[in-house]
Amino acid sequence: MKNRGFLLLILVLILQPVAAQAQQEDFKPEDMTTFIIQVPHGVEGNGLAVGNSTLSAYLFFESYYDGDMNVTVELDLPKGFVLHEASVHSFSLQTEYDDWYRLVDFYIPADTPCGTYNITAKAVVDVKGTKHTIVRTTQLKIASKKEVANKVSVSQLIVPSDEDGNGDPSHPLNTLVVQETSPALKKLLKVTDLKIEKEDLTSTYMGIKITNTGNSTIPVIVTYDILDTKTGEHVKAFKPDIMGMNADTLCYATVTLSPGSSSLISLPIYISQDAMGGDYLLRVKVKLTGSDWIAVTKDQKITAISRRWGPIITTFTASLLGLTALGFFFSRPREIMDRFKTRNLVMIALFGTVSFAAINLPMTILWELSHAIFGPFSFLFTGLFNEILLYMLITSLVVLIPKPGVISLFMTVRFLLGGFITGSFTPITFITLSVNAVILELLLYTAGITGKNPAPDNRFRMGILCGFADMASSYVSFSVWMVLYRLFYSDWYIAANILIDGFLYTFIGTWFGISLGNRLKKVAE
Amino acid sequence: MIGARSIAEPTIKDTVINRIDPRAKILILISIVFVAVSLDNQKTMFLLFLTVLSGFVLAKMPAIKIKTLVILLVLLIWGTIYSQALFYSQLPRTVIFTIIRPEFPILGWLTGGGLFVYEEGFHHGAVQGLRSASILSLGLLMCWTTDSRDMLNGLVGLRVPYSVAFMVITAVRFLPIIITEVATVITVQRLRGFNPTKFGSGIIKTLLNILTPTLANCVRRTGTLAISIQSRAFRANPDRTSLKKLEFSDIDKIVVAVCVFTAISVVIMKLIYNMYTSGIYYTSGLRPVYAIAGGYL
Amino acid sequence: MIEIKDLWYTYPGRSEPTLKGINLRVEKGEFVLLTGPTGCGKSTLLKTLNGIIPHESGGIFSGSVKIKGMETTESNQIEISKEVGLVFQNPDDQIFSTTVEDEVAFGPENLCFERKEIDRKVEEALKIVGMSGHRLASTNSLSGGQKQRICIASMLAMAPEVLAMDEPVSQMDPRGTHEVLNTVRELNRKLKTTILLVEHRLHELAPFVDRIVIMDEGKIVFDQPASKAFDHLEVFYRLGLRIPEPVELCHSLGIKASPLSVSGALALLDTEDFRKNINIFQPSPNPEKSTVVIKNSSRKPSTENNNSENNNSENNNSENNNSENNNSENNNSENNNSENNNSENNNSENNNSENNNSENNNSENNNSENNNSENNNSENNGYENNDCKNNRSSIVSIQDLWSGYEKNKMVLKGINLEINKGERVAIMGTNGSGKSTLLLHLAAILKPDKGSVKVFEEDTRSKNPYSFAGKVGFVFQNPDLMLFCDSAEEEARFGPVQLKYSNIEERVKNSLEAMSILPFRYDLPQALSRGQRLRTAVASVISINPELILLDEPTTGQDRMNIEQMMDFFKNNNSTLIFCTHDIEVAMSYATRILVMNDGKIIADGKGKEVIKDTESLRKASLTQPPVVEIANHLGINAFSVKELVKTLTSRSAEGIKC
Repeated sequence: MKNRGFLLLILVLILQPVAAQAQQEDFKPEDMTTFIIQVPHGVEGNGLAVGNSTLSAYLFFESYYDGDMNVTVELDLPKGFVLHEASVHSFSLQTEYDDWYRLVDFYIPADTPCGTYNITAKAVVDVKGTKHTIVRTTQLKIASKKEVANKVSVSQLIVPSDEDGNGDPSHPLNTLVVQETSPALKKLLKVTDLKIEKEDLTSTYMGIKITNTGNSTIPVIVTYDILDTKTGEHVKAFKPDIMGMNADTLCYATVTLSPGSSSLISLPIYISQDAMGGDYLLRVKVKLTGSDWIAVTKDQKITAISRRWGPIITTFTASLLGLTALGFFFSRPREIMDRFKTRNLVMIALFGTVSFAAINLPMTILWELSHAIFGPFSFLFTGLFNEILLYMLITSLVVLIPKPGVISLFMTVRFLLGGFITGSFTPITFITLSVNAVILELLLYTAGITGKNPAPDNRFRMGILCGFADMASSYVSFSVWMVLYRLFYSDWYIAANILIDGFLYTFIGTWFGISLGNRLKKVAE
Repeated sequence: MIGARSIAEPTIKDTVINRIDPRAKILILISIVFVAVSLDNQKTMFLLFLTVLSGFVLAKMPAIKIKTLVILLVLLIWGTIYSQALFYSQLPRTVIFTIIRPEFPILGWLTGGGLFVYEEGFHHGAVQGLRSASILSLGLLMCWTTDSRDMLNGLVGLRVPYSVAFMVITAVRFLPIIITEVATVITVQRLRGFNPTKFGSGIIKTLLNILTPTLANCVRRTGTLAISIQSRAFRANPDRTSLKKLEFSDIDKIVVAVCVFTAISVVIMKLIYNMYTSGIYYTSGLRPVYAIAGGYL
Repeated sequence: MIEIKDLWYTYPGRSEPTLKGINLRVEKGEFVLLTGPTGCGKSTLLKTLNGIIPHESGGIFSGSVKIKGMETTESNQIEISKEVGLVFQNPDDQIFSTTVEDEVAFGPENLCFERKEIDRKVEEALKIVGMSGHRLASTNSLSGGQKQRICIASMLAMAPEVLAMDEPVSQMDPRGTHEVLNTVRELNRKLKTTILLVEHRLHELAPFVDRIVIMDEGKIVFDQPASKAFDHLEVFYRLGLRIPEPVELCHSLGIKASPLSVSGALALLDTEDFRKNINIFQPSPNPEKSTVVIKNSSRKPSTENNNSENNNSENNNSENNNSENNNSENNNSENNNSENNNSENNNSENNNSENNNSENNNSENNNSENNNSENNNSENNGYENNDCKNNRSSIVSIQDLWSGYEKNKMVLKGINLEINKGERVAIMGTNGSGKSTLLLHLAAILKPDKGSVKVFEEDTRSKNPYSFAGKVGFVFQNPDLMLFCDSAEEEARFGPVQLKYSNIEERVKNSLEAMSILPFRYDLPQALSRGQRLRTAVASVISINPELILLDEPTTGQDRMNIEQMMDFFKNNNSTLIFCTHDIEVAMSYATRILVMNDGKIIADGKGKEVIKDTESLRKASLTQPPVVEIANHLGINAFSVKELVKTLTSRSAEGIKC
C-alpha cells in the first residue's frame, strides 16, 4: 500500500506543471478546432441533390483547446430551403478533443430552380469571454432529375458474387441456388455435427457496379428488390425477416460517387428455405441520397434453382440400394434360385402375371384417366389397385411361399413383364420396385414372417410391416419422380399419398391378403 | 378405347428396327432412358422424342399400334400436364382456376392453403411429359418390334439367369389367358347380380372376389405346369444349351456403341454441370462442358 | 419297361395313402389304358414314373418303381426325364413358352444337347406329331388339339421310351381328340413308344389300346388285355365307367363278344346266326332304303329267342354268371334312372307325326345339304316354330347376328335363331366355330356388330350382363372361375342376396341339395374336388333360379357322374337351357334341339335325332355319329341309343317269332 501511494504522488507531481503550461496558451480558432459542414451528409466537397429532397446537413465541431468554450453554430440555408428544426445550436466543450455534431434536416422544395447554392455554417466560439468566429461554406448543386439520371448508371450486375461484389466463376451467372434441406437431413447433420452454415437462410451476394459520368459527386443509396416476373410483386422469400428485422434495413448501400468514377459494391441476398425455384426479376434501384426518387433502376432476370437435397439423397440411396440388390443377385444367382422349387417359380410367375393383368394393364389407362377425373385425389382410387390389390397378391404369395426372396422375384417378374409388354423399362419402376422389395424382404425376414420357421399368419404384424415398407417406397417413388423427372408435388400431397396409399391401403391389402393366402393354401393342398 | 392385345402384341416385320439384336435393343433402351432422364433442355428433349418417334416410321408400325401409341402418349402427357398444373411450385405462376379455396374448411388446411391450377404448370408438365413420353415410346417401339421370346433371349444373353427368364416367359405366355380369366370372373359376378357401388368394403369385396378364383386357378395350374417343366429336366443341369444363337451385327455394335457412349457422356456432363450449379465442384478446365451442358442438355 | 412293385404313397399332410400297394408291369411298346373313378390314384401313379413323386412332392413313399431297370428313387431327374415323358390333361397348363419351337426345344436344351442336335430333335418331334408347319407359331394361336400335340412333341424331343399321359384328350373337341389319339397311336405303332394313358373316356380309347388297367381307391382292381377287358363289365358298371357303345350293344343283345369299334360290332351283327335271330337284312349303306325295307318287312324277331340266346350265352359262360347278374342289377338301376328316358321315349312316340315328318324330310335334308347354312335354319326354325310358337313364349330371338373380336375377323356370320321357353338346346361344333361367342351374346357380355339379339324381348345392345342378372344364369367352361366365396353355401347364397331375393335359405338349401353339395356346404369351394366344384358352380347359378341357363362346355374335363347329375337336374326342372358341348352323347341325351355350328354359321338345327343323321353337317363340324347311331344306320334302323337299338332289335325279333 505504501508503494502505491508513493507512485500516485509522483504522477500528480509530473502532470501538474504540464496542465498549467497549456492553460496558459492562447486560443487560436482555426488551429484549435475543427469545424465541418457536409451537405448532404457524407459528401466531402460539393453535394448534389434534386428538388423535393430531404437532406441532412452534417455539422461537426471539435475542440483541441484544453479549456472551456461556448460555441454557437448557425446554419444559413439558401432561400427557399426549408429547415426542419432550429438553425442555431449552442453548446459547450470542456476539454481537449471534446466534440459536437448534429444532422440538421432540411427540405429542398420541388420547385427549387436548378443551380448551385451556397450553404454556410457559422460558429461563434466564446473562450474566456473572447468571441471568435469560424465560417464554413459548402455548395449544393440542385440538378434536374434528367441530368442526374443521365449521369448515373448501373453498368454491371453480377449475380452471384463474392463478398466484395466480384464475379464468382464457380457459380453460374444469374442463378441462385435454393439449398433446401429436409428436416430429417437437418437433424442428421446436427447429430453428425456437420452444421449447415446458416440454419434457416442461405445467402449469397450480388455485385453492382455504378458509374457516375458527371462532374459532380453524387451521393446515392443502392438497394434491390426480387420480384415475381408476372405480377411484379416482391417475393418475400428473398427478403425475409432476419432476427426480427426487415431485410430492407440490411440490404442497402450508400455510396458517394466521385465525378467520372465507377464503384463496385456488394449487397447480400438472403434466401429462405421456402423460396421457390423459378425465374425472378432482380431490380436494382439507385436513389439519390435524400430523395425517394429512384434515379436509376436496372432489371436482370435471374433463375433460382431449387436443390431439395432430401429427395436427391433419397433417390441416390434408393438407386444404390437397388443396384446393390441387383449386384447381390447377380453374384450368386444359382444359390438364390435353388432355394425355390420349380413350383414356387411357376407360382411366382403366375402371381406376377395376375398382378400385371389386374394392376399394370388397367393402370396404363386408368392412372391417367383417374388423374383427369379425380384430380389430386386420384390416389384414393388408384391406390385400390396399386396398393390394396397388390398387397393382397404379395401377402397371399408370402403365405403360400414364406421364403426370403419371394417378394424380390415377384417384383422382378413384374418389372420385366412391364418392360416386355408395355415397354416400361424405366428407372422409376426399377428403383421403386427394388426398394420396395428390399425393404419388404428385410422387414419380413427380421420379423420372422419369412425364413426358417415362417409365421405369416399374424395379420396385424404383417400389415404394419408392409405398411411401413410401402410408406418408405412411396416416399422414394415421389423423390425419384421429383429428381429424375423434375416433377413437382406438394408436401401435403406426398404426405397424403404416403399415409393413405402407402400405409392404410397397404394395411388393408395385407390384412385381406392373408385370408386369401390361407384359402389358396387349401387349394394348393 | 384400346385393348390389351393392341398394347401387348408385337408386330413382327422385317424392318431395320425389327432386325436389331434384342440385346442391342435392351442396351439402346437403357442408354436412351439415361439420356432422357438427364436432359433438361426443352429443344433437345423434343429432338429426342422426335428421334424415338421416327423409329416407329422405320419400323413401319401398323395404324392400330400408332393409334395405341398416340392414345397412351396423350394420356401420359395429359396426366403429367394436369398434375404439374396443380403442383407447380416455381415462380412465376398464374392461377387460372381454383379447385380448393384456402379458406375452405378442412381441405383448405389439408392442402396447405388451397389448391389451384397454374398456367405455368401446364407448360412445365408438357415439357416434362416429353421425358416420360420418350421413354414410353422407345419402350413400346422395342416391345412392338421384338417378340417376347427374343427379348428374353436377349436378357439371357445379358446374363440374366435362365430361371428368371423362365418365370418371365411363363408370365408372358399366361398373360392373355389370365386376362381372359379375370374378365370371365368379373362377368360371372355381374351375372349373379353383383354390382359394386360402395367405395369401401364393396370394393375390397370385389377385389377379393376377382382374385380368389383367378389365383385359385393359378395355384392349381402351378402344380401341373411345374411337373410338366420338371419332367423336361428343368434345372437338372447347372448349365443349359440354347437352340437360339444371338448374334450382334456390325450395325448393332455401332448403334449400341454410339448410344452407350452418348448416354455415358450426357450423364457425366450433366453430373458435372449440376455439381457446378450446386456449388459442389468447379474447375475452370471444365468450362466447355458447363457451356455444352447448360446450353444444349 | 415299367416295373412297379408294392408301391405305397401318401401325400404330405394326408393320413390316407393315395396309392396302396400297386403292382404293375408294362412291357416295351405296350399301350396301356389306365382308368378308374375320380380320385382313384391314377394321376398319382403317373407322377411316380418320372420321379416327381417322391423327389419333388415329398410325402411317404415305399415300394419300387423301375423304368428300364432304373430305380426312380435312386436316379436323378435327367436320367428319368430321358426315359419318361409326361403329358397332362390341359395343354394350356403345360405349355409355358410363347412359341412352339421354344416349347419343344426346352427339354433338349435342359439336357444340354448341342444346338444342331436340339434343332434336329425339335424338327423330328414336330414331324412325328404333324406340327412341322407350326414350328414358329405362337403357342397361344394353336387349337386345343394342336397344343396337346405340342406337349407330346416337347416330350418326344427328349426321346423318352415311355410316354405317360394323364387324360390328354379329356378337354379336347372332337377334332382335337382325333388328332391327339392318332398321334399317340402312331407313336406307339411306329416308334414302339410305351404308352401309359390315363383317361375316363375309355369308350373312345379302348379301340387303340393293348391293355386296360382299372384302379380304384389306390389299388389296381382290374388288368386285362383290351380285347378281353369288356368281358367283365361288372367292374365298369360298378365304378361308373363308360363302356364303348358297340360293347354295350353286343352285351345287351346277349352277344358274347366285345367289339370296340363300329365295324367290329357290325361284323358280329352281320353273322348269319345273329341275323337269323334278329331278323335283319343285310346292312345297307343307305339307311333310308333300309328303313323302308324294314317297314315293309313282316318278319319280326322274337324276344323269347333273344332271351333264350341270352340265357344260352350265360350258360355257356358260367364264369360270367355273377357279372351278368351284376350287370342286370346295374341295368335295373339304370332303368330306374332312365324313367326320364322313358318319358322321352314316350314323347318321341307321341311325336310320331314328327318322326314321320322328319323321315319324310330326310330326303329333303339330303338334297338341301348345300343350303344348310342359309336355308335350313329357317326351315328348321319354322319346323320348331310350328311346334313351339303357339305353345311357348320366345326367350331368345336373334336376327342376322354378326360379331367378332376384330373388325376383319367375324366369328359369328349372320346367325338367325329363335329359342323358346323350356327348350334345351345343345350347340355343337369345333373350337372356334362360334359356340361360346354365341352364348356370350345371350348374356349381353358381347354386343352385336350387326343384327340384333333379343333376350326376354330386350335388345342386348343397350344392356350389360348385370341387366340380365337373375334372369340368365351362366356356367362357364371352367367352373373354378365362378367360385370366390368362403364356402359352398355362400356361393349359393351370393346371387340371391345380391338380387335381394326372399326365401334365400330355402333357395340355398335346395340348390346345394340338388347338386349333392349339402354335405360340403361349409367347405371352401376352391378346395373341393373337380366334380364338386362344378356342382357348386351350378348350385350358385340355380339358387337364383334363372329363366335361361347357359352352359359353356360344362362337360369338358368332367367325369360322367358329374355331367349326368347336372344335366338331369336341368332336364327334370324343365329349365330353358342352352349349352355348348363336344359330347354328342350328352347332347343326344339331354337336348331337345341341337344346333351345329361351323365357321360362325349354324349349319344344322333340329331335334337331336334329325341332326345326328345329317352326316354332312356333322362332318363339317368334325363330329361323328355315336357308334350306336352308326350301327343303327348301317342296320337301317331308326335308333339313337343303345337302349333304343336293342329295343327295336329285340321287338323285331319278337315280331319275327310271332310271324
